[in-house]
Amino acid sequence: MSSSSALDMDPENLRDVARDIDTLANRIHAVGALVADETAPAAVLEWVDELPRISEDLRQVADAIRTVVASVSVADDEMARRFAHRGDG
Amino acid sequence: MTTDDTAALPYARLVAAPPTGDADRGERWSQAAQALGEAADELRRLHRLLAGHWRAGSAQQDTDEVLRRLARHLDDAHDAYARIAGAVTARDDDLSRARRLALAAAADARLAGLVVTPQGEVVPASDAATTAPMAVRAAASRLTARIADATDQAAAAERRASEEYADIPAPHPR
Repeated sequence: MSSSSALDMDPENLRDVARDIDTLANRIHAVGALVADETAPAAVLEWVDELPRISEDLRQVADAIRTVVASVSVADDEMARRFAHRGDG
Repeated sequence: MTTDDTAALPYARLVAAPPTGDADRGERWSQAAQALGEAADELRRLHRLLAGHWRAGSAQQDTDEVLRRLARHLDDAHDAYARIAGAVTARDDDLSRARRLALAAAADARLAGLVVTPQGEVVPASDAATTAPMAVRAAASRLTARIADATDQAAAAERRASEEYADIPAPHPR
């Protein structure tokens, strides 16, 4: 089974997407600082607290993408190594 | 609330200097709402980019589902923040107006040689309290009514803001 069954994008490009998702997560986290107000009513505080949660979920997605890319890259390297050996032999 | 005992007095609280940072609070919520709208757009762009290069598979499906859900959560956050911005701005504007009315009445009271108590009651200066002529007492009670009107407007503004906050849907449970 070739790695291209899972991905048809350069791993570097996928890592870029993961990095952009992390950047977005940081931006969303920073938006919370604009409205941080300990005296706000509970209904408002719930929404202040929502942003770190969305950020954290996005970071997990970015990590998951990197994990998939890493495992596919390993498989790619393994395939390349085997083909190279076959070529040698 | 604070331990300051004037905090419980509507007039004293209304005319006290608002905490620093309150002035642009509505504006900051608006900026936050706008940033969240842009974040939702950016997430959808990244999602499309990813979907175009990641074929079907369980990891792809999971990620697809999570990104779709998070984009919806960002949309909801954008809507909630915009509504909070509206409520905060309206409340702060209404409170500023009520504060100006109360301060104008207090200034008129001082010009007339009257005193405003922390309770918002306009009275003749203590040494004249018992001997003040009818006209002075009438002026004092008119000014007291103006201050009461200002504190009523402030209370109504707080109530409207609370109602508006209570109407905003809560974030998705996790």
